[in-house]
Amino acid sequence: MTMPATDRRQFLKSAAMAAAAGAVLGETETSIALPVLGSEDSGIKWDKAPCRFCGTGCHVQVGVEDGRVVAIAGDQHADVNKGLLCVKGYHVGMILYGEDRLTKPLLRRGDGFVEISWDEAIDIAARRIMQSPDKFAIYGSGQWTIPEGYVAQKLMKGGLSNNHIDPNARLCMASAVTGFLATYGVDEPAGCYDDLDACDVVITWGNNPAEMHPVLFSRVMDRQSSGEKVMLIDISTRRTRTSEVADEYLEMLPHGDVAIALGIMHLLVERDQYDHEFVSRFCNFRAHESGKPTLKGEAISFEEYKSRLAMYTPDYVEQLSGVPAEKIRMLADLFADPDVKITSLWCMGMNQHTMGTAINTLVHGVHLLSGKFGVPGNSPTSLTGQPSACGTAREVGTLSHLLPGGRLVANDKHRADAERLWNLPEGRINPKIGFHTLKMFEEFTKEGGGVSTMWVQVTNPGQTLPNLNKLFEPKSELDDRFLIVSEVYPTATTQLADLVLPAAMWVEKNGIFGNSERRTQQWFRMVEPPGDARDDCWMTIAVAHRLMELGHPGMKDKDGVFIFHMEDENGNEVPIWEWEHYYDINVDRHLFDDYRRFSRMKHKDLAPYDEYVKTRGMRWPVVQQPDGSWRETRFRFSAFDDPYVKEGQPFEFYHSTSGDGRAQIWVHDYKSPPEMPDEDYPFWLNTGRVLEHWHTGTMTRRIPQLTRAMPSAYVELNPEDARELNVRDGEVVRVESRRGSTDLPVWTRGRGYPPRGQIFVPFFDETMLVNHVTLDEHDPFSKQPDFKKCAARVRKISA
Amino acid sequence: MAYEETQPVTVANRAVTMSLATIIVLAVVGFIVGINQGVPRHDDQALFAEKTISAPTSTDVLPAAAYSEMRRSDAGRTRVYSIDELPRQQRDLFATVAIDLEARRASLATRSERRAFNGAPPIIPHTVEQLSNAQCMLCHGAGFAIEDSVARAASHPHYANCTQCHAPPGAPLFEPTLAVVNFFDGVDAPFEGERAWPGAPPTIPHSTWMRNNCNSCHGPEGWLGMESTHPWRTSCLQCHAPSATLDQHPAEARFLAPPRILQNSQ
Repeated sequence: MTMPATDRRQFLKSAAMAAAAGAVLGETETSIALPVLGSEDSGIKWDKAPCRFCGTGCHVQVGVEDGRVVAIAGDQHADVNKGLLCVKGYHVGMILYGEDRLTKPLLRRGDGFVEISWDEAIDIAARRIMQSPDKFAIYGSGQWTIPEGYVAQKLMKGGLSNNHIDPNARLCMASAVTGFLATYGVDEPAGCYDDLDACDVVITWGNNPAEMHPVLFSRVMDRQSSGEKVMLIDISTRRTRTSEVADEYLEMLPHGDVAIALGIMHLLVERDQYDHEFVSRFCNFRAHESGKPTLKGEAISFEEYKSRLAMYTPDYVEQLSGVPAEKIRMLADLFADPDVKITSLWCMGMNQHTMGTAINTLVHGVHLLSGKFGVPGNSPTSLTGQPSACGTAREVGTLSHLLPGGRLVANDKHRADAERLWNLPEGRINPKIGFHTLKMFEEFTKEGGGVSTMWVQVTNPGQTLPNLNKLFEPKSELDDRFLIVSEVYPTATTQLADLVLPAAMWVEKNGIFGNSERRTQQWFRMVEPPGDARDDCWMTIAVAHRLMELGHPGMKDKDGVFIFHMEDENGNEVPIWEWEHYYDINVDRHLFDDYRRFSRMKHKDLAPYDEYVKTRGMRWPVVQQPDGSWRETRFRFSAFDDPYVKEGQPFEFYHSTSGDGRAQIWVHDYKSPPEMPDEDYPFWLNTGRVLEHWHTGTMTRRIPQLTRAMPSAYVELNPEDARELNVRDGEVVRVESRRGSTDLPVWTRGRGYPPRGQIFVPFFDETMLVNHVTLDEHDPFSKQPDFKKCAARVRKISA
Repeated sequence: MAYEETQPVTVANRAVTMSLATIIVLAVVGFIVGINQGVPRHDDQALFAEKTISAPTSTDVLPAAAYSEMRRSDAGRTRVYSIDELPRQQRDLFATVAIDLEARRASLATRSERRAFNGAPPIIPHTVEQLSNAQCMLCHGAGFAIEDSVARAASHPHYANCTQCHAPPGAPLFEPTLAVVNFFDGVDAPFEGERAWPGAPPTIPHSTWMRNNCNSCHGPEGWLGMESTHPWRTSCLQCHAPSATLDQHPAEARFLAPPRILQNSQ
């Protein structure tokens, strides 16, 4: 019959050993290795790595035996997760071993592909770019490691003088960025996960951490198990696992969050229960300019602020949000109570929102107005969905308008500064902001558009872009477009690719991520990638080197040296563009230590690479102490912890947009969503994730245990709506909007429970693409689309 | 003769069958009622929602009790059971336990079928209520067994967000959209701990991190071949030493330097 398990194991091991023969696996001996389970003399070698999946940034211990990952354990010494993981994390080692890993560079020939050599592949990519360097674009990712994002950033902005580089983080947390910038003048949360250990109340705003950030959710639940009193308030459009545990479940209408935040502000001001001292010393009031609104806005007086809030009475807010007026009062009472510590959590619900910037600033504003800020437990905390959305997208600045370290493409001084740090000739960096994600794909998929060649790295836009029928599918009709995709598995994106580059993933390469709480986390390569798969970072450097050989002047700095020139400790150049030599030195270390020079301007100081090797990550600003040690910062802008706050005051917002050390409390007017249910399309469609699958499921769906739990996408319907449509659980129905449709099985009493008139579809399933249905309307500042609401209908298919 | 001999056996059989049937019926009723008590339900799902029952127009027949009344009715035909009230297997703690190594092999094989590698949280072998964890603890809180079916107590009662780590099967109504083939080959569970000499208590061959209920696996309702021979002793770590290494306590054992032995000539 079948091969006995032990024989199979032996066979796999010897196969792996043969493959790994002679492998050089970098400098693992200096890292933190802790054996954790299995018999002690089993020969398993353990090493630390951050989990590959969400933005929480748990550390795992990876067990490697004979060149293969054989076990995963929660890292007990990691601050983030303290030994606990979620069901994805416990199985993360299995992402490497799906049957259909891509192992050869592939070039399109008609309907199929031919296998080509890496030399050919790099040459083809470089020649495409040379044809029209200004029509080349890179679409990257919050799953890029920091060095990967940094080389792509330098290739584009510092080499090709081309700013058409944007990450998928645009679809994910761009509104969080604009929210932070508008409020504090600098990106990323002031607080951290430690707030969850100290707060009395957690408010989840359109957020389901029980499934999406389970380890953080358990951090709160475990306090309850230990007998502590922590109140959980879930503001959501549908019942989820988070709602089931919550003390208060406040069901809101889509977009209702804006009204709720305004309603809380209204009551705090009307009842004169806001924190007078905090506001008068550390805050200003702000609103958009009447002409062309900007993120800076203009100053308004307290009276004006108050009068603009006047209409948002509890009754009116109830009308807009569906949340009862008494519950708005309950929320305001909590914020008014000086003895209650409140932490707010949010993620895609507030970010994927046509008023994304506005609602982000409003929730910050509620915390500032009530003084629920800057003390452990009092914090507005925005969570991220990807492991390095903060580290790579936001800090390295791989967005079309940014340069590393919070610098702006459109700012003359910032460009000059970047040119100096990169040793580039003056004027090399293009002052014009590049295409943001939606624009980039629009230009790539329309006749005569401004992008002819696109390189997609570490993400899957063929599944994640909104309104795919407009923004992705038309590519197949345009012969002059060339799509290069670096990937680990076949995806919806590689389906339309012209050149597929097989990539190494996670512990098959060195890497550095930055998580949601400003924590920078390093790991070493532990196993060999399969077949000819290679590091993304190497691919970018190899293409840059080929461009230099083909004569592109931008690939040299002002002294005529290759922009990715690296030397060994003897001062000899290492040809890292040749794969055989890529691991002769630690390229990540060179790139990171180069990049960290950018981190000071916005006080996001990073320590040298070698310091991160010794820890399970550190939260920036990481500042060197007189004794030479490096100290992380948990609470930014708070004097007791942040070394950059001026002495003698408890708080200082030292990047204030008003230049006076104060944060901005914004007011906005509630605006209805751009598309709302009507007679033809009577349902609100919401999309999102489930616990077992991450992002587009390309990794998690290859793990049998997870696919067993969540085999396919579905449409969540309220049972009453199902009855009215005459459809039953499991029956396949058509979900359609004005933009497209997809067929999905119905689930009425499943993972979530939507109220009548709302449906929910997870986006992980590449065979049921809900993004054929979604809307590409977006926030005016962040350019982030709203995946959480559009009008749709559900149709019975069978007679 | 034959008749007389078999008669009492048949009666006994019938009694066993009847009492088993009663247990099963009670279990099912108790389970359903218990679940409905413990799990918050959505409004339209409320099986026992408060409703006004209109008075019967005819007095010819007795009105059937509404479900909504039954649960609260003092004179109702059914009363509220919880799992705790179900009869439990009585075990003789002091009976001699012989460890069956073949059974241990079989147990380890079953155990490994439910996890990706030793140390991975086991998958859930039965369907679950998707939205809530409340009902997990009904069976896995104190542990629960009916005949051969055992719901083992959680080895880590502090961690109660069950589906965070344990993957349930999908709703039976969904067909997987792909057949997953994965070449991951995980580490196996250890077979036994080390003993200093025959008769010495074995050391613990696995991590005890985040687990504090040894009985979950080694108790009377634990895995065959892994059960404790002395279930009346409950302070396991008194005799069985855990491993600091396996529990991720990284400190290296060190001695002070040995005495420096001087040569006579010095």
